[in-house]
Amino acid sequence: MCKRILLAAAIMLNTLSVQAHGPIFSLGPETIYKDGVETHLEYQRANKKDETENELTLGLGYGITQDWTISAALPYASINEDGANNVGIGSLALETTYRLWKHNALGKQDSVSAIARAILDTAKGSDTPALTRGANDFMLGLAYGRESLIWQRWASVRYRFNGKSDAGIERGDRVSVDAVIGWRAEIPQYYKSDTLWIVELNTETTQRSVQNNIPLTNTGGTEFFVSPGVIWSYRNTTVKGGIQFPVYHNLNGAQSQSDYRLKLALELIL
Amino acid sequence: MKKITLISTLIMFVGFNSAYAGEIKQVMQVHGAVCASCAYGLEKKFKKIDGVKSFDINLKDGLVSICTDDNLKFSDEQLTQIFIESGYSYKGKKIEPSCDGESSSEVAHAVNKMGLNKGDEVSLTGLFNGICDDGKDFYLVVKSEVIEIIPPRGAMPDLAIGTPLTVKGIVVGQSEDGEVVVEASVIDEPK
Repeated sequence: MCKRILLAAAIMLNTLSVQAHGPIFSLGPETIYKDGVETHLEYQRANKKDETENELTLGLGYGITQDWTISAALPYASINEDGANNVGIGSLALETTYRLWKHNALGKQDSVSAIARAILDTAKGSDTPALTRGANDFMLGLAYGRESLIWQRWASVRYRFNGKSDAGIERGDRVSVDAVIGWRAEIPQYYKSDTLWIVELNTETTQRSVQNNIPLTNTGGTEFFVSPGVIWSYRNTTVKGGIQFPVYHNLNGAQSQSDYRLKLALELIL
Repeated sequence: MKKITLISTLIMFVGFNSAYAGEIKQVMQVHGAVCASCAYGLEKKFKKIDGVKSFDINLKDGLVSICTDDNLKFSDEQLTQIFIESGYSYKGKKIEPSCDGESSSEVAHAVNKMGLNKGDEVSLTGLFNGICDDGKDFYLVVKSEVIEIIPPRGAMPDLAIGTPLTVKGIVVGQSEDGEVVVEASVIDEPK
């Protein structure tokens, strides 16, 4: 039971923000221009021993101002656990990004944004394995980015408040810290395609879950990932993809470590 | 024959119209634009405006080029607003008489609020505004525009900020922060 909860939480945590030219698994400070609309279709896969989860997510974002973006994402999920399978609508995620600070210079931009996300427990049902986590979760994050014509760098920190499930389990909160570097071989041109290569270092530390004031042994711990990825874009169309490989884990009790996570996304600015 | 005459007439008509339709190129300096997908908002905002025919951006030089009807004029306030709403900073504009000819990359370093071009010989009188962090250049403020001055060897002025100064030299380009850079041959300090 606890293994299931943690896997679902991991995938939802990484639902892509609306940020075409931002990092793949981490948070970025990017916002959409005023009155701009961005839509994305995203595929994610997470794999552990005897557990696989696939999600196809449709997202939509809107730029209220050039510094304030709101977005929503709804996944269609498939979970396979110990041979049992369940498919259906997943949890709706609502997000807002507010750019707190920005410095523009010739060929570069530095910015810092605050991000808040609510992952609502809209996936109902009692099938096993369950699509629902049985609780609403919330995330607060802070992201910094320096984008320039050749090199990019990002850093972010997130805190996810995981809710109490229907089964009475107080799921452990999670802290994620990310650092990303990006590079392109040549200065981009507006009417030519642009390829940006990135490498992310993602860390996740999850507290133990608690039931009836008793910490659950096989929950919580720390995992580090190295995540290579590529972002290809042509004007308002972006295709991005990356894989998270676990490089270090210190999980409590007897838990399977993550095998890999995959993400592919198509994004369109309208 | 009749068909050829009709086509010739059409070509002449189109040619006449394009020659006298009155299009101009407006080139603007932008700061903060680093990728095509992020600059798309600028294209959307400009193309919504009646009279804007085409849009391009040279990301390397930070130059936005739009071809417009010649009666379409933007104030600095309007352009500032468009660039801010797209997430960028507007730093000045220059109007070219025609949309033909050199591309925006060829007019690189040609745009700033003072209309200075790379290679221009200038004589600037302004106020001394301190020495750059690297200690090699200094700043001169001329009509609210900050100019970066490369002094002749050993001629770094030792002045209080706000002291009037005249510099003669050649425009050599723009700094990373978009300031016009002048290589000075003569610095006239106050007596």
